[in-house]
Amino acid sequence: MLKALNTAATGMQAQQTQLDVTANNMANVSTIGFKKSRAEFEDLLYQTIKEPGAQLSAGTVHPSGVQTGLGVKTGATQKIFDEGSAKITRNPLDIQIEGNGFFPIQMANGQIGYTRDGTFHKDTGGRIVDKNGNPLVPEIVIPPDASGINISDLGEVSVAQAGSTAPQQVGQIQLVNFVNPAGLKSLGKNLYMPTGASGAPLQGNPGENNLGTVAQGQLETSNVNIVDEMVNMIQTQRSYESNSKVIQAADQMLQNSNNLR
Amino acid sequence: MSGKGIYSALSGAMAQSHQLDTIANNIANANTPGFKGDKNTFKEYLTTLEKMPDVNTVPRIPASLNSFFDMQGTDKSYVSLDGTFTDHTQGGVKATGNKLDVALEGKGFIEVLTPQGPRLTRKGTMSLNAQGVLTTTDGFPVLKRDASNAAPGAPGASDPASRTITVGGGGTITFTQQGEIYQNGESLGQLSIVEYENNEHLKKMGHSLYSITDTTIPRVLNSSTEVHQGFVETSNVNIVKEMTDMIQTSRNFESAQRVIKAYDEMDGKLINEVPK
Repeated sequence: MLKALNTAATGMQAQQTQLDVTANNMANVSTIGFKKSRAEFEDLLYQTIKEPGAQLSAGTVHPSGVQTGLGVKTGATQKIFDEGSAKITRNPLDIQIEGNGFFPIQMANGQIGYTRDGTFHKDTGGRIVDKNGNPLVPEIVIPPDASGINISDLGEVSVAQAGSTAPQQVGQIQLVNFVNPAGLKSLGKNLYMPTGASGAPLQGNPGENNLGTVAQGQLETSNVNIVDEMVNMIQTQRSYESNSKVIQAADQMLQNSNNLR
Repeated sequence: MSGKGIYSALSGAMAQSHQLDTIANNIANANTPGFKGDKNTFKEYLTTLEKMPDVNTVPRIPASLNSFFDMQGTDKSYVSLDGTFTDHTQGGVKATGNKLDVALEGKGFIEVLTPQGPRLTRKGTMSLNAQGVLTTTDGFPVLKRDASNAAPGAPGASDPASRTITVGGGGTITFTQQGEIYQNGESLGQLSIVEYENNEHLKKMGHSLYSITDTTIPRVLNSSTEVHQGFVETSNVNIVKEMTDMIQTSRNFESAQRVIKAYDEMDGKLINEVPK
């Protein structure tokens, strides 16, 4: 009976993990560029008391053995990289990636992080930086006397300067794609880092090699679906309750065995 | 008075505790995609006959205690666990919208390659690894159908390692209802869906995988299992049924415990009070 207690405990722990994941998704429902996570469960190994197919007598084989399962565990928490919807802001430095790809950002510790969040600003030197001051890679500097910034679908950044009628190109935004975006490691601050599971970063201009195009004046909202998360939450709570009832039943049975004499 | 009956009651209590273990596993996995619930069956395990069955003579002799023994010794039997059967009923389908999730409708399984050999699974949540190979969420590659249509190990079958599916670069992956995989209009093969008439020889290995214990059992050709992209098959555990089973198990255990207690009290009276 102790097996049932531990099995039900693994069930409750799994539901706790599920609730943590759901809570994180709900908390980030208005975070720009946020990708929801999903907890995936799988059953633990089985204890075989009698092997299926064992010989019962000459010519008779046991049709199925006797096995006991030992519960459930969280196999993976996978990030779902579905595209969020577009929010029109008309801010010249708000960019949305329409399709695959990430913006490379130079982080303070020297590494390159990747993000879907396209809210960019200008720092004092005119460089395009994200909201934490980390510059976009490759660096693009907007000259101080520029009056209007225009970013084309293919990532060409051009400005209108006093003294010349034609717009001048000051830089090219590049995007990075991965074979398996779900294998990226989340660092927080809307940044991701590549790992062995995600594959090497494949850099390119927007629109080439299956990379998406960029759209100026738009932002990608979070892809969290509130209805889904609510339903998951109800299911999680009731599963947690069922597992706690199993623990109560096992406890009662142990109590009965203790009261045998 | 024989004290053998207490062991019958004990076997009953042990059987109920095993039943509770199985129910606990079913309930813990009520949310695991592709999980199939387990059921236990019990059988009577007969003791040796106390007295050989006798031809009933027409009673011209006075009735004695021996006349009442014709139950052929089957009045004291133990409970033994006969087997654990997996219920392979179709679970429900839940829409997730994820391109790499598939739900199987029918009796087939997806074939995956583990370091211990090919295994089967119903859990269709897939992902890509760093080399672009289509894998389960544990990292085991999903296999495509063998062009020669032979079972693995049979002559003519190709090496399972050669049947992994590599998805190039970008572009959305589409699964048709027959399990064919298309990307950018070109076909990458067909998912290997393995179906058997009878799933009794499949053994659960954990990680939502089944192993094939008897490779000589023939597979169903022309499987009618359909593949649905963007859906996941939920567990087929019925919580209400498991709860009622659990109540019954708990009360059966209590009854067995009462029987043991009754034997104990009777023995106690016999030993302590009769000799006074």
